[in-house]
Amino acid sequence: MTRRRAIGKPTIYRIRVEGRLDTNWSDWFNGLVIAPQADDETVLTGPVADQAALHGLLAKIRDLGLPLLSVERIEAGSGQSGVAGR
Amino acid sequence: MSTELLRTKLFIPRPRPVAQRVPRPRLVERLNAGLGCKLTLISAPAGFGKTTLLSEWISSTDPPGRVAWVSLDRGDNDPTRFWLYVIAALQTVRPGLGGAALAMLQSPRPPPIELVLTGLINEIATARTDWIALVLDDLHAITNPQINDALGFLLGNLPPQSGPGEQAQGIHLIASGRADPPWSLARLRARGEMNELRADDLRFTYQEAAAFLNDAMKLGLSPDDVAVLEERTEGWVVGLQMAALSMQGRHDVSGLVEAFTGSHRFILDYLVEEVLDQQPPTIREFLLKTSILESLSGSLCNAVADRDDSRTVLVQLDRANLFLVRLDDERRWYRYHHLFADLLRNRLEQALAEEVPALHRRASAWYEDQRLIAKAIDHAFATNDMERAARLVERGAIEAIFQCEHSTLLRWLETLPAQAIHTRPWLCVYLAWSRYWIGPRDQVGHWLQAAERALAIAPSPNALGITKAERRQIAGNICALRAHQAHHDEDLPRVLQMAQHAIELLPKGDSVCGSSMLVLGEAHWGLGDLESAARALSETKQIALNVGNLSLAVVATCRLAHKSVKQSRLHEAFETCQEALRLATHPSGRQLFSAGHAKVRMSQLLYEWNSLTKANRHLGEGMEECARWGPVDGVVESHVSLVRLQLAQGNTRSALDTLKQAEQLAQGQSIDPWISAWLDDCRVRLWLATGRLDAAIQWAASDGPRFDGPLSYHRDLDHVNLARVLCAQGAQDPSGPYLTQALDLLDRLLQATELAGWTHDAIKISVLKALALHAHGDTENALFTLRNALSLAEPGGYVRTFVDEGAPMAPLLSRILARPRDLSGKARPEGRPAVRRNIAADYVPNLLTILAAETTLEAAIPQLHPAPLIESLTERELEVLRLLSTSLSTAEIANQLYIAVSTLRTHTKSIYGKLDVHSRREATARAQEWPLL
Repeated sequence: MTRRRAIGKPTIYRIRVEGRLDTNWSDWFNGLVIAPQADDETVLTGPVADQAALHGLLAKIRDLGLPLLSVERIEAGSGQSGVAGR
Repeated sequence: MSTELLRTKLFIPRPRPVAQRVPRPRLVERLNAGLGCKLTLISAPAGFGKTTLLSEWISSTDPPGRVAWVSLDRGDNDPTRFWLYVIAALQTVRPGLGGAALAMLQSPRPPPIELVLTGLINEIATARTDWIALVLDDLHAITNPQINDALGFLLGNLPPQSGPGEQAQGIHLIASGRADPPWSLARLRARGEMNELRADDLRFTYQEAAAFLNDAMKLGLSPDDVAVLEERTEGWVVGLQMAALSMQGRHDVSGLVEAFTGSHRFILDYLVEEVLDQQPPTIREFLLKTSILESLSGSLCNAVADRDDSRTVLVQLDRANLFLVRLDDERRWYRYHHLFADLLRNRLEQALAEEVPALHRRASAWYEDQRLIAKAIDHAFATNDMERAARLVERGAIEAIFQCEHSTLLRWLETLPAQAIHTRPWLCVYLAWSRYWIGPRDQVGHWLQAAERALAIAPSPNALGITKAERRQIAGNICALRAHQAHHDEDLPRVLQMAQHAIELLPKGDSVCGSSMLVLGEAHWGLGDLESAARALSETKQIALNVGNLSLAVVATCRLAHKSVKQSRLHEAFETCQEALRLATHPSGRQLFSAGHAKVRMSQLLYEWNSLTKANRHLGEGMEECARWGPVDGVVESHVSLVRLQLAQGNTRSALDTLKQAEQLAQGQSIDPWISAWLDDCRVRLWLATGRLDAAIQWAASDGPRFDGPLSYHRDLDHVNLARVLCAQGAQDPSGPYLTQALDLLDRLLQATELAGWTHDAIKISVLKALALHAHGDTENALFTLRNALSLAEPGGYVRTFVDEGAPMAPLLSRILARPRDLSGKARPEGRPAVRRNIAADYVPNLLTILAAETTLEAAIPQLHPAPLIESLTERELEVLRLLSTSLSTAEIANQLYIAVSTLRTHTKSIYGKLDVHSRREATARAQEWPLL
């Protein structure tokens, strides 16, 4: 089941990048919520339609020259995120 | 693709004047050293100066003009378009290179790309001149796996570089992009075949940063400030550049450096704001509004930004080094540095979001006016104006199909909402053609129905802007597609019906009309109606010549040659092949890929005539061309011809190898059933020649037709192959049912081919039948059948058809030679009429000579020598010789011939000389050896 979902359905992802990105980049990143962190990092969180969309996002991050720190999938109901809890 | 746009794709960016840039000799040196490798990979994120470095390196190469360049973008993910660019780029450094590949790529049914590339690689390898390099800039934009696989194949098969560095030969690939391409880089690395430059190599060192900030940008920063900036940007070139731009013309530079380091914001985000703040409002607006464009020209920017001074602004921006990249020498086309454009577009979305659709709409309109429909479509999609996009796709589709850019067309059609397609019959038709050419084919029918529904919806002839003539044309296309589809499904009666409809509906000057005519011809052929087939093929050729579709004309001509073969008119076929070759050859000497096909066909005829050396030469040339440029059908066919040639030369080992290659080529490809039957024919012959009857039996049992199954004209060879296996089984086990089954099948085949006038097949089937009868113990009928075959075959000069049957053929031919009068058909078994044709006297002895040489069966062949001198006798001399064999006196003979005795003497003398005899008795004895007197 997990496998099927990873390929087809929207999933919540949390992407950490180095550098403080302004929140006005949200549209650029397909509506992901942009949260600058204290330690010169930015976290982008939100639903990603499928794997192709995820790779598209990663390419945009690459193209802006933002070093990628981590990419996590947040399981629905895992309680890790308010967004994912719905 | 307009030539101007093509030029900008292939344009090599020129370096800025030395005073405005930082020369990077350490990196240029590494690029030179890398020429000894197959590949240089420049892999780093945006803004690390990849393109700039390459342009500096290229301007330093000596002599110039060795580097080909392609700037790639996301629109280049169509394999056809991609390879067209690559070849066009290579031609800028080696005129004429890959010309045939170009023709191939644009053929209606392009071969597997590996074949095209192999030809290209060979062409490069044989040139053996100094190195050339191909730069693929922004390769990360290419995501189509087909293209990446093919590039990996190209890389794997490039000849190894010889000579170090700048002394290298051959072609060197330079891939530059933001991500590593998906090839086996580890292997290239391990073999030392790759030269690599990555982000760490490209970063500005402290010295380079200092040279840039203080020498090029003339900022006069203190060493400390330089160090701070270098550290804060980590040597990221674009970061330093923006920092410098934001500081230009300001007094408190050190204060700015401090503020810059104090900010934790994403540095480019911060810097682009600073840079924009530096610009006057009008320039700022220009930058934002034109950021939606992939390339910029004065006129285009005027339209989009709604102003009239764009050209001046562009020149200013270029001078100010504001991330503008020149795309030509005339300064007509520019683009923004990609990263800068991304940043600008984000700002645009913040500042002028509501204007963005209007900007795209104006860009789309401008491109439409310039007839650059593909770009116009992309901007229409960006505004989400699907009505406009659909209308534009209708306009652009024909060109896309014409250029074989099916992937691009499909991308457009898939982006359009279903509603927009379903109301436009042309779009449905285009989608159906695309699905027909690149699959999946089972969707073709769906789109044809959609097209018909769309036509039916239109309430009046002129609704949807479709004229009456257009309606006919759409309906014609639908029928043409159905005909092609039926051809593919081997539903021949339906092909006839649909193709005829299509031809009635379509204008004669339409290429689709030509290809419908071709499938019509093929269907007539498959149904055994050779004359109608020939008419359709001639018309196809005419239409093709009228619309300038040479490759279609050559295909039709080759098919006409094949029709002559079927009628056993081999000489006529050879002439037609020569005509096809002429059509396929450009006055410049350059040949269409189909020239190879004509040569292979000629080699098959030469083979039949036992001119093996000539056949070999034609086949060698044809095979090379087919393998380089031809569709896989032709490649397999040329291999099959080679198998037969190698078998005839007694080279079974090589024949087996060639057959294996042919099988590998054919594997997984949908090849013409006729060719695959021919492949089976080779297999069966090889099995039988190597004593592997078991394999042949297994093949016959596993698939294909049954001996008592229904016959079909387009599957005739399958049946003949089956009969051959049955004959072999029968020869081994004469009391079994096999010979009877074989004879039953062969009789039915013979009837069918005679009915259709396929003499060629009748000859081949008769030969098999004679052997089967002989094995069955019915020698009389065997001889009768073989005699018929011989008299049919002699005008065409058939040799190999008889000789290839090997040892079993020898006793039958010898019997025929020994009983010459039977040739005129004294015995008429089964009450069938004999063929009343005389066979040239040397025909059978000649066959026996070749057979003897090949089967070392001289002993079995009587009276072969002193061989056929008979052709040297004139008709008159033959008459005289015939009378000399009687008991008539010299005077009586002279009387009978109404000639003087002295004249008769002249004739007899000449006859004695030619026959190498010295008396009437000797001459008479010799004459009796000959069958045809």
